[in-house]
Amino acid sequence: VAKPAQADSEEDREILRGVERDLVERAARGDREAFERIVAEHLPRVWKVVYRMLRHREDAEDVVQEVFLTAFRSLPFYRGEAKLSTWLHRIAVTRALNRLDLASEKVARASLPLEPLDEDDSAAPIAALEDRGRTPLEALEAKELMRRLADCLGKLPPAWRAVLALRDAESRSYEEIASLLQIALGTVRSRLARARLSLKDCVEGRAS
Amino acid sequence: VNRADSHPRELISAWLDGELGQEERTVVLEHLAGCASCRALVDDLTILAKATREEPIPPVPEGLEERIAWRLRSAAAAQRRPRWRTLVPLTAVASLMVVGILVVLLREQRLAPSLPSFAPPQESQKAAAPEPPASGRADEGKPLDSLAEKKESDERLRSVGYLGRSKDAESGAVAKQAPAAPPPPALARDKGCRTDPHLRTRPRLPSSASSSRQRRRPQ
Repeated sequence: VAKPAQADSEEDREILRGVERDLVERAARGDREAFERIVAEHLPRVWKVVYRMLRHREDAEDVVQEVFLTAFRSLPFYRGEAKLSTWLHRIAVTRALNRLDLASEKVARASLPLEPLDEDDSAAPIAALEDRGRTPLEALEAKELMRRLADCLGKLPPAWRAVLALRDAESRSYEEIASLLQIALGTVRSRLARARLSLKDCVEGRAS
Repeated sequence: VNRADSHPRELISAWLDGELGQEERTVVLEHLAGCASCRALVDDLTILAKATREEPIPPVPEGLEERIAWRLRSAAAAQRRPRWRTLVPLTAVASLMVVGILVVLLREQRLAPSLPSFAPPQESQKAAAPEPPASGRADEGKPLDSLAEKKESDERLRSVGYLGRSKDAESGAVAKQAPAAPPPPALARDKGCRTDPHLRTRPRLPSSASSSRQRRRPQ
């Protein structure tokens, strides 16, 4: 399946949008070949966001399959208000969160070392770093940082991990994240801040 | 911003994302100018965001695209299947039910004219009678259509002692008098029923119908 070409101009982008519209219309009429092209084009990004949220290969595979099956069944109801990629991302995020909710019921939550910060919690995890030349994170070697980061991301509450995945990894705007997760803009902002601060504590070894 | 927190950490996080308006941006910049720990926080959050973005993600598993295509084909087949594979068995079951109901209704309708002549409980034990003699009857060949005729017929049977006989004796009588006539299905079934007294009265009903059928056959 041919990868979509780079859109160099607005005219090119319009052509690509037309190609996508055509694919969507054909797929919505039940043309599996058209839908398989959509899968080929969007699979890498859907895979990334789902994997980042679940951090488990088999679960991510299951969810990604469900995402495209859901999309195939729901395509006749897709009105094109959002971009196809955004629409697919919404399905992916919802499915991944559902999976995390199910998993969290099974897994003992007591094992999670991170606790959400209370609204009035004024404990400042950065206080200990004041007046130092280098922060502990700066002192960490890249390999060790990535190892700790992977470990700590897996320990974050699913809702926080979702916003981090969408913002830091997918570079989605707050407005897009709010739309994808069906939450208020202010919630996106506060969740992101809490997630980042908790992640920082964890990577520094203060929360685990 | 947490009011109890002197460090506007939430604003700093949003500022790093470029998601603040002019007013809030000014607040953050003024705070950062005088707070070393928040400047360190900015450095740390930048490192973490970069690391998160660059975190190696396993490539799309080999064969996943094919597996999705396979599941799509299965789903499409499953969507098509109900149109006939579900409707056919459903129609068959519905038809069988309709036929069954019709059969029951027809049987009830056939038996209905005889219902008033059901024997009282004390007679019901006697009523489990088999077929009356098939020949040598004055009313042979006449259908028992009316209630009066039916009562007459019963009276005649009593007069010859037929309805008063015991079951065993009746069986013997049947064996002697009408060996070729098989018991009607209803009679055969009712023999196994010991709890419902009404069912015991029934053998007389199909037997008359059966005998009337037998009588009609030669004509």
